[in-house]
Amino acid sequence: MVLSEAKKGQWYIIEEVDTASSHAGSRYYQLGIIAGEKVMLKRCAPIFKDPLLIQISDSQLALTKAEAALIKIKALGS
Amino acid sequence: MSLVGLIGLPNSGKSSIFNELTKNRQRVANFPGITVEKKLGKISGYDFDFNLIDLPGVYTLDVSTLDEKVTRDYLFKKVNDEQASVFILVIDATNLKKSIYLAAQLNEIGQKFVIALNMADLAKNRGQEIDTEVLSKKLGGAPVIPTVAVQGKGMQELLLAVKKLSAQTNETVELPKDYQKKIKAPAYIKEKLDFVDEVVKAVILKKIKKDAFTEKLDSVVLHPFWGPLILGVTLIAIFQLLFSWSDPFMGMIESFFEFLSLQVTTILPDGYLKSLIVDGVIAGVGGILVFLPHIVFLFVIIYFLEDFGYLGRAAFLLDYIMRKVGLPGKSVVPLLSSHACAIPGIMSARIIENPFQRMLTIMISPLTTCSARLPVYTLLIAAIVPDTKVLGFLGLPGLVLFALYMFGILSAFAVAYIARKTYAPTSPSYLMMELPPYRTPRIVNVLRGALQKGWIFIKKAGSIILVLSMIIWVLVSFPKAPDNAQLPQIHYSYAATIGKTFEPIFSPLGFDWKITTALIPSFAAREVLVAAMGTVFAIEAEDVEEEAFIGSLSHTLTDEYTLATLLALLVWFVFAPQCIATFGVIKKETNSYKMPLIFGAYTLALAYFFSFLTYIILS
Repeated sequence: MVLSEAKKGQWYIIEEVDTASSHAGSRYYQLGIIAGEKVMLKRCAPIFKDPLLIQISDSQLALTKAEAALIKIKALGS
Repeated sequence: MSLVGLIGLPNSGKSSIFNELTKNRQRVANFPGITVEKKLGKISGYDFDFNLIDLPGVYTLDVSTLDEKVTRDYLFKKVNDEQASVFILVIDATNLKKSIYLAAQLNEIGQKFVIALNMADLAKNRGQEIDTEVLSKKLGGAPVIPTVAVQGKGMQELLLAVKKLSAQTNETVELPKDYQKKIKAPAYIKEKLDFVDEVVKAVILKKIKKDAFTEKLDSVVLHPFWGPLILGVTLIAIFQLLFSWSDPFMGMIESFFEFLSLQVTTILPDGYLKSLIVDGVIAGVGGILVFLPHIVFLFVIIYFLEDFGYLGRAAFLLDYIMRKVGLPGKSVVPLLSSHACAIPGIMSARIIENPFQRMLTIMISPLTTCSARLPVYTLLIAAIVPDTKVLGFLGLPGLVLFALYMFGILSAFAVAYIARKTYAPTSPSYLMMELPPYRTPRIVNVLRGALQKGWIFIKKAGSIILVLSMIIWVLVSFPKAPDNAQLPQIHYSYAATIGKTFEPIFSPLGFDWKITTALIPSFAAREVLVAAMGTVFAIEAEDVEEEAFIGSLSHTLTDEYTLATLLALLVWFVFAPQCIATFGVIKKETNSYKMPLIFGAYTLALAYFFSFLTYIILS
């Protein structure tokens, strides 16, 4: 599954980041979105449910649904 | 004197260290040829002789934006005029991990640097323990100095370390061959990230506790219901404060210049000199200074919200809607402020990181209904719209005014949408950003920054505005009316000649030479149209805001012109760039003469087209 489909408040592990398809490119790893990191979907923006707010490492990141859809995740412990 | 570069991640606290070390002695300019802000300063209040440059934030040396490239060029000797030899790497101690990548790269290219471990107190309070010795060892022996910039803590030690380092070396590093390509390779990134993990494991003895305050506040500020509500209230409050705070000051500035011109009028004999000083110089300078309250207050609010951390939250909440027209969430601030006045609005577009989106916001902001349009709208609505009620309680003039506001903002969005589709269909824009923890805003820095903005406006935009207003003064005042003149001065002026010359061009809009002539002084500021119309039709008034004056002028207009002409004129004022200050500030903010010219051309074209459309449909 991908991060845009994640359940709120649950921890996942990032499997793969498809940076090649995104214009955000190197921002992913620069902001700590790297395979192997733990990630949690904290909240969605009101009304349109886009962008998303995620917790990764010690920081909160905001990113659009499309940007989150490029992040492959798996449930923690699976 | 050696130049010390401040480098670090965005939000790492670089600016607060810069502000603390330089106090007020800083210079803000643009980097040559681009609109990236360059902040230079001299160490002040500490016994060290350095110049300091605050470089745009970067995450790693793998740079992508214009701002980031500036930083890279400073590191690699690509900038000719000034070159930093020693760098201070500012690291946010509460977010240590992210900075280690950059630190490792600085070390790798052989750059000498000192680490300012900023917000050390906050990290400690939240239970974090860092082994600074090991951190230094892992990063090639770079000195690590814990600092609390906003309290001035650690500054002395930091400068001492810088001095020691700069005594050792005077060389700048060169960009290693193929480095830019090398650092994009996945294998390289993997290796560096592993190194970051290794350093974090060795250095962080006790992990930081969550920032409970930020969590709590975010659960309200970003709440599905309360979030938009708070945002709405905040935006309305910004708008209201901008008006109510600025108003008395603007009144004071206006009265002062009225007083001044009255004094000069009584002292000097009638003639060219008097006219030059009163109508040219005093009116011109007064016309520039009157923008100051708006600029300063808007930036007080913006810097406060930015320091506090709310601006990023607002961008998050508004991102979806603004993205639809190709603008970032933050563009709401310039667009909203432009409803008071486009000048501070355009200046505030600097909060937008993406250069294309910043430019786009600057270009469309003046289409929103600024307060200088209100006197014009009031006059024309009084002339056109009958004062009747719709649905029994809604005044028709009020509804028309509301429709004009909507028309302005929708036009701005439409232009943004089309420009974006045309010029940057695939321009790299992304939201991805950190929402940093909330912090207590530093009022001193907020005020200092806002005053600085005002000063820069006067210095950088003022000269252009003054020159343009002098040109307008010449056009309106010369040649002088003959001694036995029956008509007001303006009828004999160059402005009238131009008005008559251009009449054929404007007659498809229903404008005669009198309207065209009145448009010329109105380039100084839109509201001047009201007085200019009064002058053209020789209606005397003590005060152009007087109801009797508006009444008789609107009657004259209704008698003189058809509904089609007056509506076309109203539409003209929605689009036309009738404000030289806007040109001055666009020149200043875009650092080019091309952009104000493009702005003038496109808004004139829109004004002409829509006025023409209005006129032919109605007549």
